Amino acid sequence: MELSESRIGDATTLRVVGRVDSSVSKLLEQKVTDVIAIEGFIVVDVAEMSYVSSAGLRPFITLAKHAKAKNQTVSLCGVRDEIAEIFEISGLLDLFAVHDTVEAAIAALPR
Amino acid sequence: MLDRTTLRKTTFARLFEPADTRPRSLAAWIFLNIIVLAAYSLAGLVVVLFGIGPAKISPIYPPAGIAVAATFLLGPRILPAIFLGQFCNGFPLLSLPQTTLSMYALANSGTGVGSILEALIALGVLRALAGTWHPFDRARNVVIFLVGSCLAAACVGGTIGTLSLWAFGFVPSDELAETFVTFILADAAGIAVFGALILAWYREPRLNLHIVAHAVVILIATAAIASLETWLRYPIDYLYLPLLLFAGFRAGPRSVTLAAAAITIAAILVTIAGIGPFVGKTDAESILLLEVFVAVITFTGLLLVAVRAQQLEAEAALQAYNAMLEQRVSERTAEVAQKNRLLEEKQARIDDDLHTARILQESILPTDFSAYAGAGIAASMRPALEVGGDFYDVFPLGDGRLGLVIADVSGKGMAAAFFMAVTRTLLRGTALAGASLAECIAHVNRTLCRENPIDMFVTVLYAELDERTGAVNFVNAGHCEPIVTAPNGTARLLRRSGNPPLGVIADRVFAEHSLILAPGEMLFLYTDGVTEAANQAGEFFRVRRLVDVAQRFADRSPHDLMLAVTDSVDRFSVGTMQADDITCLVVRRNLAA
Repeated sequence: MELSESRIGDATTLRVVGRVDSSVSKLLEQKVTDVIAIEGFIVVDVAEMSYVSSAGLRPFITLAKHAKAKNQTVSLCGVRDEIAEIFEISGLLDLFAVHDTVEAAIAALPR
Repeated sequence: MLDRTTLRKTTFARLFEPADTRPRSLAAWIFLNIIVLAAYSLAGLVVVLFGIGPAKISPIYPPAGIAVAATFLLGPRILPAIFLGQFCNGFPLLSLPQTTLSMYALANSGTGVGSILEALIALGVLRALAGTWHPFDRARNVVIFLVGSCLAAACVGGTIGTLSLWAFGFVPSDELAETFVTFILADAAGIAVFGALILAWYREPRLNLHIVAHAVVILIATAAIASLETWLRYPIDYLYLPLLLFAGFRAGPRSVTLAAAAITIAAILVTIAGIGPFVGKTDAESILLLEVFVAVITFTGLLLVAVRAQQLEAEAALQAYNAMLEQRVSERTAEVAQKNRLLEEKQARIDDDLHTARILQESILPTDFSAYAGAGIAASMRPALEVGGDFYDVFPLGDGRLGLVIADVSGKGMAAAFFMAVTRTLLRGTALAGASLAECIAHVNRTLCRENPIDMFVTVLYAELDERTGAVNFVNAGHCEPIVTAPNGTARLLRRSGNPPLGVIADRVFAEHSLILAPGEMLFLYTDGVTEAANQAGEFFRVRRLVDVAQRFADRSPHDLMLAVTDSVDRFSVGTMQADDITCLVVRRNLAA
């Protein structure tokens, strides 16, 4: 798994690349906690996330929970079909605003 | 005005402050003056007896050393003895035919005053420039002592003395220059050799075997070299040098001053006998040669001692510093040991608490399933740490119905264990209170969302099994997909239903599903500690391997299936640390039911 973070306007974009499983979920969890601490919107780019396991879902749940508690919008973009299915059957997809691209996600943010 | 007078007095007192400042009675001072006078006169007598040539001139004048040493030790109050001693020491002049008493008295009063000034200057110079009464600790002080207290002081004393003797006709004008030089150098040598000797032994008066042995060696060696020189008639005075070095390095100021004095005396005696390198064409030449030798010997010896003293001082300081460091280290070590002990005690308490927590956690997981006639049940939970965040539960709901729970709390350790206990108790309590499956899950979810300050959540699969019909109603809240096995060796996954874990969204409605377990079919529930157990290559056990095992053990007992799964996981992940809690719950609808 690789992580990168960028900031466009008042949105923080977190790009997740590769496999997300129990071996890296702790790392992602830490990153997510850091990102939540930043004010503004959060966009998670998972276009290059190839796989997410049960344990790998946990950071996403934490992210959604915190965002909900702070009334923050979290966008998920570039979700592949198989990843979408995992989120769907885990009951997590409707916790996020889902978009095709980062640009679309940022364009859709409330101003 | 008064201040200035006091200041001048203080300065004067400091400049001529002796080594011994004890207050004394007048009688004591008189007594001390008599002692010094006796010593001074005796030394003067020796000079007369051992003088060179018909004039009995000595290359060294020990009374000058005695005068300076006495002034160094006792201060200006000893000066009367010195004046009187010098006044009397001129007695050989009385034998001259032209000497009148008044001439003698005037001339020797002059030499007496010269001696007093010499002693005062000697003390004052060392006090003013070195701030001490002896020259043995610093190389710089040795130079101050030899140049100031010996040579400069002797210049004053020698000048006054010579001029006094000349003024009253005791020194012919053509011998004036020679007398000047001899007088000054003899006084300087006397102070350097005998003054230093007395000061060194006054400074360290205590005798021990070490110093006595060294003194004996020095005296015997000096005597031996002098005797050898006399016997062989070779100029072997350079042999004194190793002796001086030995004294300086091995025994300090006392032996060096002793060696210098002994060597000086030996050299004079040998020269008087007409032997050795210091025998000149005239007596005056011999005396000058001897004086240069004495000066070199004394300077070398005292410098050696001072340098050695500085070295020893530095070594002692280094040693003290090392000892201090060692002390610090041992103190710190003790501190660290103390802290370690406290940490160990604290760790022991924590371990004890964790152990108790584990026992408590194990005790709330049911292990006896014999009461359920219609279902065969096997279960196990193995935490990755001392306590786990996984749990399972089995409880009767009445009417032949059975509640089955498997759950996985986010995170691990004490927080997870605590959250696990809360969830388990809440779920069991709500279910036993008669709530329907959907109501039960919704209530637990709402409660966990509300009373959850540390943002934890839990994946839960809660199923109700009717033992008589095999009907299973279940809600899967974000948990792993259960497996259903049939005795014919097939196994299928129950797809997840789109429910999030409990404790994430408070107002969520959870989808409920159902199925029928045929007799002999098993429902296999597990946590992701099973499917995400890693091997050394970093690969996961995965659902595929789990389904394989389930198929192979589909016709066996729930217990056999459970063991087969945990054994397979253990074999797969051998050599790695268990990363997550591993939990299984297997339920079979019995054939008999």
